[in-house]
Amino acid sequence: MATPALQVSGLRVTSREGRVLLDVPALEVPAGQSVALRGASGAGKSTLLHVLSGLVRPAAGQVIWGVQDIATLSEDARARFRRVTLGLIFQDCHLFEELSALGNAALASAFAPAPDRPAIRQAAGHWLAALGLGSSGPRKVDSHSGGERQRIAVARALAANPPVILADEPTAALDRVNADALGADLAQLAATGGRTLITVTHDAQLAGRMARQITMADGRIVEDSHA
Amino acid sequence: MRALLIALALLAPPALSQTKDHLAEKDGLRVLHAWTPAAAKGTEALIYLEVENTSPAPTTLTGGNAMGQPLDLVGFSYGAAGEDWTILPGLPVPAGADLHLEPEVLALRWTDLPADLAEGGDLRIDVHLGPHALPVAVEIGAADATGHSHAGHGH
Amino acid sequence: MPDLWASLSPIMQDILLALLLIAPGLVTGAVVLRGLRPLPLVGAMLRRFFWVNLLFVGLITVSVGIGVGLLAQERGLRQGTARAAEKFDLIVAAPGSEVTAMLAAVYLQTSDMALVTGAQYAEFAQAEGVAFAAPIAFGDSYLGVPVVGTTTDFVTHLAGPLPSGRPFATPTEAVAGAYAPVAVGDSFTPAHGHGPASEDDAHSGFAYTVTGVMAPTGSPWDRAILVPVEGVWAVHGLSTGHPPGDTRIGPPFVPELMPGTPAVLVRATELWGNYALKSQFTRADLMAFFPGTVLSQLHGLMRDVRSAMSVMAVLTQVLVTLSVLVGLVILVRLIARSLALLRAVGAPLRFVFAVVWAYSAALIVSGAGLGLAFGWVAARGISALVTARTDVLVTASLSWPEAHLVAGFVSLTLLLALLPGWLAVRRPLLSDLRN
Repeated sequence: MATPALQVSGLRVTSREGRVLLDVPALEVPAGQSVALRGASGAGKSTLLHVLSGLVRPAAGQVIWGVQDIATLSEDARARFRRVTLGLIFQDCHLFEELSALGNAALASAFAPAPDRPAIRQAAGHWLAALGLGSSGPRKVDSHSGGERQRIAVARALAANPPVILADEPTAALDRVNADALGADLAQLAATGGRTLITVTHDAQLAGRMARQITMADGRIVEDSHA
Repeated sequence: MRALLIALALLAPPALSQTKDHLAEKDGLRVLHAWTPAAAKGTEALIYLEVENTSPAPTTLTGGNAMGQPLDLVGFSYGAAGEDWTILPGLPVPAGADLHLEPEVLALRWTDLPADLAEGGDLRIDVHLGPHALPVAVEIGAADATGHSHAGHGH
Repeated sequence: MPDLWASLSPIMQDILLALLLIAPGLVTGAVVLRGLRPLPLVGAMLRRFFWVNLLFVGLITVSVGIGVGLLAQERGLRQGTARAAEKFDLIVAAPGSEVTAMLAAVYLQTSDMALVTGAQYAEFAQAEGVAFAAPIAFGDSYLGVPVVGTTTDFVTHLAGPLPSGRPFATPTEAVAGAYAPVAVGDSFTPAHGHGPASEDDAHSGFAYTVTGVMAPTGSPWDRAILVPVEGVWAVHGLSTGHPPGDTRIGPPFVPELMPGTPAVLVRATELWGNYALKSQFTRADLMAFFPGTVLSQLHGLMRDVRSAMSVMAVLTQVLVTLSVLVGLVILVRLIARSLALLRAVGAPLRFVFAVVWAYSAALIVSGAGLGLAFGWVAARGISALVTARTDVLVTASLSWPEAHLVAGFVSLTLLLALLPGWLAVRRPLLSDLRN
């Protein structure tokens, strides 16, 4: 599917106690742009990412991907949106330990519509190979190193061929070498696939690979710069 | 018509010219204390009774008849396969002897009841003893009854 | 509809009932899993929490096993005792308790009983339609097993042709039950009475020689030793039912010379004849009864106990079902993070629901299946124990009532497993994902 642009307006997320966690009056991300969300812990980066992925429904505002405001969708519709449009990468991988690398990478084939399943499994294998894990597909994930595990998570995010990748501290658990390698892979994926990539990161080197850098503090965007 | 006949048979007064309550007698052959547990339409009824042969000649109990349907004389057996009732060709009742049809021993069996046998009602049957068909009123007891309400009475 | 049901054969009714019981569970499964393939994930989750899952399966296994074992064992016992009585067509004894007489004559649980006299015996031994009338004279023992006086007719009727040796032919010969503690050629002196109070030397100077061994009958007679009734009378210093000097065995007996016997097995030449004979010899001075009828009445009395056992079995299942349900709800917390991940990467709620249900179903079905096997093994073990203790061959096997119990249990728990599924999809996604 075509890569959708992101348009956020009047976005507010509050805690149960009414504290403002996120206040973003406006944010636009053109299709295919790579963005680093930076800021201190508690600045609201992850919350913004969760709102953009539909994991959190905002108290107010619009989160329009393409033409669809996901803030108005039901939970199942948001899940479907994530399955079709987004690839999510988490800080600590979130893998099924008892499944193989390929089983994890092709996770979406378990619940995708039947016609899409073969393509997902094929793409999972392709991405594992592309990320240097071609031979470890049948191996269980608990026999993989931290860097390999995160690559498996990336392959999972890409297996359904989503136009948008959202990543939350993807290199935080990795050593420098692995972090650099993964950062390079992500940047290349965004650049060559026409995908939008938004990543939360403290890693200056990863942030440096992104076309745009947004800095947040206290739930607000305080700096927005293009490379 | 059939339903009417069944209703009449079930509600008929229990005494005919040669019968008193629960006693039928002919030529020294007596049938008494006939009873059956209440049973539902479509199931089978087991009818129990006592036969007394006070005549000087032996006779044979061969079965009976109820509403035009045959009543089989059946004998009980119990083994590993469970309970079973076997059709018997007939049982001799010597002169001066009694024959008791009682639960888990002997009975007249009416298969495939055309109507419910309701507790408290009376059922008319014929009991075949030798050449005779003795009309008998059968008391319908509770579904779990184990004997006739007048069992033990001398009549 | 009741007519249609009644028209079906018992086996069809059993099959249909089992299908009806399992149907709600199967339909639930078909609806929940339609178009989804959660099984690889469920397999992964089962492996991840292997020991916890094993505990659950074990709990269900034991509970189903107890229910199945109870039902199978009770039926095995009932069938075993009935099978042991099958050869005893009609017993004639002096008036008294039919139950006591049955326990003594069929199951060799001997007790003091009044005797049938020679004159009475002659009356029904010679009655029309009697194939044979075999005295059953108990009271002596050897090495704790009963030594019973009878006739060769009885030996043949009870166990058929002897697989080893020949029937007794003189008053001092004996035939051993299949598992009696004597072999062909052995000689032994019987003790007077049974158990600790038996007098070992009361019959000293008298010995039986074993000439044959009976085939197994599955009854307490397998451990007994059968001797000519004349031997029993002779060893007690009584006349032998025959004129002095006459050493032949078996009927006819001279009524005046026959000492009497506690019970007689009467067999008619025709099936109906047994009923005629029962009627003929049920009278003030004699008691004629079918052991099958007495046993059926006893089993009928136990029906309430059986019902209580069934209720207990079902109640146990229900309690375990509830425990399993509570456990599954707790287990959902264990797998909550995995479920949250599924939802985060786009799995529909229905899929997450199906994963939890299938996870629960895998535990339930495995436990129930193992429970069937466990119940069968337990019932077999207990049967062997009962057989060893009573000599009544009890063979417990699985049958339809157990299938119905398990089908009902599985169906009910599969339906109840919808609850943890429902609770799982209501859990907070983000906090589960972070934990």
